[in-house]
Amino acid sequence: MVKDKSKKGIQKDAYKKSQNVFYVLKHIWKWDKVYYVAYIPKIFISVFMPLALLYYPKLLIDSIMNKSSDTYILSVIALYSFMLIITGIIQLFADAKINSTSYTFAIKFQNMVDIKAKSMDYENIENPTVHDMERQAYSGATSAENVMGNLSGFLTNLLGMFTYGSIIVLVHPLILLLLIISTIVNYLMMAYVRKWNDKNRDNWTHLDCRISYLFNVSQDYDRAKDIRIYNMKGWLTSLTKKYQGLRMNWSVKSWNKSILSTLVSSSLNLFRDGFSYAVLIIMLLNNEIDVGNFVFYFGTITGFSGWLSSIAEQYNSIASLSDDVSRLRAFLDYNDIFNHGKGIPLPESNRVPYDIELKNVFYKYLSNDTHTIDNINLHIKKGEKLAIVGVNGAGKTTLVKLLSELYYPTSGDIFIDSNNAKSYNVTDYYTQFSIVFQEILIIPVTIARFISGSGEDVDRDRVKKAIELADLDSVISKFPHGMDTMLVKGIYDDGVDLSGGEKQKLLLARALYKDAPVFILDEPTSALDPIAESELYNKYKKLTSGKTSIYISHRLTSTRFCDRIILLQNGLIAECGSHDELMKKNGLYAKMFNTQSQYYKEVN
Amino acid sequence: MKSAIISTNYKAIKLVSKNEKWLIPSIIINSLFANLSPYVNIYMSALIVNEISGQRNVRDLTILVLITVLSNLVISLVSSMLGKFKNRSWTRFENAEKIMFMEHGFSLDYVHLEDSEVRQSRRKIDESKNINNYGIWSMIYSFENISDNIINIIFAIIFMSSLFGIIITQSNDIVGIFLFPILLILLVSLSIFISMKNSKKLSKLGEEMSDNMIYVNKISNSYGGYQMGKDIRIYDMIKIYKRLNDEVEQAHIKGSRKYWFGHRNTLIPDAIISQVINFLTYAFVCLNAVRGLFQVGSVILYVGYISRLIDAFKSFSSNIAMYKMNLPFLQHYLKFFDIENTMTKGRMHIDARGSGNYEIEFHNVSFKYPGSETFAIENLSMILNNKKRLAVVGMNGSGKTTMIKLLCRLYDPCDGKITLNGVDIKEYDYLEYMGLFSVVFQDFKLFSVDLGQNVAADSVYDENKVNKCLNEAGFSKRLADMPNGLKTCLYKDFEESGVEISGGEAQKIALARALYKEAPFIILDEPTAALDPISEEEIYMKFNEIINDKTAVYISHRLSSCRFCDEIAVFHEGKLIQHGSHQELVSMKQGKYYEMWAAQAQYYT
Repeated sequence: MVKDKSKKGIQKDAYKKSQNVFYVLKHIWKWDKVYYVAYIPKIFISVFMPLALLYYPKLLIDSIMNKSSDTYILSVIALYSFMLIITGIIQLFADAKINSTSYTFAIKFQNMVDIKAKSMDYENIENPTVHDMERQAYSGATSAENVMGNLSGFLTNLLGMFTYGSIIVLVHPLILLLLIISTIVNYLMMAYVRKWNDKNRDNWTHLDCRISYLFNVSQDYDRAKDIRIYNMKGWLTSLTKKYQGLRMNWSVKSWNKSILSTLVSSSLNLFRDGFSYAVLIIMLLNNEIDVGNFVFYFGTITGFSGWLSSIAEQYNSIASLSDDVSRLRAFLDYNDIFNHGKGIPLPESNRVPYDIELKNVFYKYLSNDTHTIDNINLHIKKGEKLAIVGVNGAGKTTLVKLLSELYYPTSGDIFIDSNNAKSYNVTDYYTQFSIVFQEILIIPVTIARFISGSGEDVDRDRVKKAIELADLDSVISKFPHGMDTMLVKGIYDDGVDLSGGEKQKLLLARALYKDAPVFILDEPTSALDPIAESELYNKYKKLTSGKTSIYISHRLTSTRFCDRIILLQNGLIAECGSHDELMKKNGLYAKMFNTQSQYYKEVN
Repeated sequence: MKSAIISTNYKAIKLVSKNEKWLIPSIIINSLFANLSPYVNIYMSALIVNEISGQRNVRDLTILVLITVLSNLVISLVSSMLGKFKNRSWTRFENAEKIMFMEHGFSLDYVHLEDSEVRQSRRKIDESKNINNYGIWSMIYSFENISDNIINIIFAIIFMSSLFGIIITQSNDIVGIFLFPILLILLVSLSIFISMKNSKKLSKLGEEMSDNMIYVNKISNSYGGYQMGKDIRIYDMIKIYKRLNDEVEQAHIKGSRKYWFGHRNTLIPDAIISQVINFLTYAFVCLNAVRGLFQVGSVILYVGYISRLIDAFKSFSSNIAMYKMNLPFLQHYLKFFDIENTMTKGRMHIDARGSGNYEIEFHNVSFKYPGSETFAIENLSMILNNKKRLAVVGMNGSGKTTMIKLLCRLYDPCDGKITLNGVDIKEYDYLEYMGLFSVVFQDFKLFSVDLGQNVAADSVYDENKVNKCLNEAGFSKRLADMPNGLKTCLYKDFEESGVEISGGEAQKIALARALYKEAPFIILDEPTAALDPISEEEIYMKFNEIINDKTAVYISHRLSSCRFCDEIAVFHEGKLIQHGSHQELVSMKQGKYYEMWAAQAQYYT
């Protein structure tokens, strides 16, 4: 919690309120200038129409008291009605423009956040702090749409306060003073309630989190089996009810504070109104004002306190919007350390396999105390087929991420054909890798687009070839739209859901389509059945011919089609060599292999 | 349409009242008081103006001013108390609604939860809520607004007619007496007419807007989490995402324009007509006041009340439109709670035949998932022998997990039957029958509550027993490291200080949970897919050790798991194709088992 606060503090210092407002306004100006035009009439109408309407009864009362002619009265009413129609229509047009546009700005800002998250250093986005910043920036983007609305509200109130204030000064300066004092006291009262809420918020946010966690868990279909088998119904509902009860106690306390604040402000209003009435009645009895003015002034006084209290609220909400915008900007401005600039050119022909060398490479995750990769020296020769094995958590996947420059080593260097990997532009560098990751992630686009990773034109023949190589053609040819079928059912009416094994093959097809010089498979058979797995093994040599390739698995079967095996243990290369060499060594590799193979050997 | 609105909303209000009886009354009482203050103020200032334009009696004026300010104080205090009362009922219903969803979800037959239609229906409730609080909440909001409108209309008429009485007693002008109410009735009918017309247009626009929002939300929710970041960078997928983002933006701009511009065009005639009504009222009141029929103060009064009346009718139309727009969502919402369980649930108690013997038999069982064309299980007959260990193997989608779901009665067979000790399992008490099974599913889930509750699946538990089960599951070493022992929360959702656990550790806790239940059947579904060989071996050994006198079923597509089992059942495309011991099956070189076995074994020889 303490850490959290200091973080917010830094953000507040980094961007000033005025800068934040300007930042948002500048972007909106770039996107839609007409939006601003809509606010000009809106502000003027919001200030001067109420004033004109206050004057309306005065005009009518005066003319009734003076027994004016019917024509005069009718023309006053007609004039007002006409004015109201015109301003009403202008306002409708302005509001339609504003309402239809402002959420678009939120989406545009959100898209900026989204693209930033997808193009920043991958290492950052895996960092929980940055990930949290992204989420805050995303919700900050929604606030950005309200900046102009709040600013115009603030201006309107300021303008209204000055016009109404100057009218009241003319009546009696003391009333103005009383109004200002009562508004300040009201504001302080509200601030007290808000402060109390802020101070105690931690007491209930964690309750809210628990309640929503329990609710989400109960609605999670994947948990439904467990919930039924272990009859968790009573447990989960009673837990939820318990936290709801605790939460309710805090709500009641908070409401009681609000009632207290209403009590104070209502009593103050009693004095304010009583005093204003008294002053106006005395003035009336002394014939300083007439009945029409009495009505007009009283209305102005009531209106003024409205403007005054709204100003404080508007200022507060601009301040909180500014905090949101700070969060948005902090993320958009987040510094990358990878080489996103101009790097050295890639080797001439993409087809030449690479020589990769790791020198004294260390890697430590931010949240960890120990190094996940602990001084690795490794030379992968051109076209070599390397297998990396090891128990869970040995650092296999981390090593892949280092090789493909999703992470920078904490210390040490990686060389590609004797050039330091960091000297390439990172986007160029990525083009040299085809990787099948462990996590099976699919997005709702067409199969062809997913495989080609392309936004626009797709090389259909190449996609077809990749599908065949990945052994997916029998599945995809069954779909009416073939490779143009949408993935993910439920998003598009004609979308399809692939099975786990099919999805994994789809990832393989994508890697094959890319056909990059370095080919890495990270546990690519976890969702495949034994037959499909064995088919992939048999094809492996063909798929990786002319490439430097790395196969990662905790199943040792992979070792059969690789030139060299590396056994990782606690971030170190514990054993290295061919299958036979490692078996002879009788170390961890041999132990793992024997454990796995005993079942198959028993029979032979 | 109209009767559907009334009956559906009536049903919804009944549902609300059943869960929180004070919500509806508190909304009505609250809006009664919250709307009172402007009427009192207008009324009092009219009296004050009448006084100052007439007698100017200081004592009367003082009394009037005092009444005004005091009544304001009282009204604001009472309405802030009532506000608390309303908020409280409101929050109570919010809580109750959550519990309602939880309990309904928990008590539905599992088959409904796997039904994509039910899932879609549940998702649609959330989606609608995200757009505009559509569903039950929109109903409550609209109810509150409409109750404001109606109370405003009632107040306006009551306060006006009280002064109308004064006109009758003080004037002898027939025109003044009759013309005004007639005019008023005409104006009100005109307002209602416009309201209804607008509400139709507005509801149509709103429906289009929400359809569009549903579409936009669906796309944006399917982008994948941060883990997708790796794929995005390596496969340069940013172009795809830019395209999707543009699509969302364009869809939104289009939908939003259509809605707001349409909204504007609907309201333009309304803006003109309401001013015409204003003009007529003002003219009538003022001209009569000049002739001395009304006092000056009544000008303030009529002008104030009539404009409130017109405003009330104006927002009435958008609230009615809201009801119409909300109707399909509300119907959908209520329909979800109408889903009824269809499983037959008997009352028979399970007789363990004294010695704890359970024999389960599948008799020609077939099963199709709802909405699916093909059989997931086809004509399955097999016996689960008491206290024996059975391995179930097969390729992906061969029906292994489905068989388990049928066995535990998460599903009932479409055809054939399953018997326990010779009696159809449908005859037994449902909970009692399910109590026979401890299952660690492939996708088992733990909770972010403390470790002890996780194992016991309850908030009260026997600490010694939990410790014993964790120990048996091989978790005792890790338990010793836990900062608060059994009270340590898992993950970070509940407590900042919660601990992260690895997949293997989670597996052990899930196993402990299965042991804590002390059920006669223990079933493990693909428990080692994510584990390295050493941890896998550990689990096998442990499993073998702890199940001692229980009946066990072990599902895997890794055949090495079969070595602890007495029998092996091979599933293929929903059918049981081979059954026997490992030795028997592996010697049948034409069989599926041998094929799978050979595929894996070739790398170990």
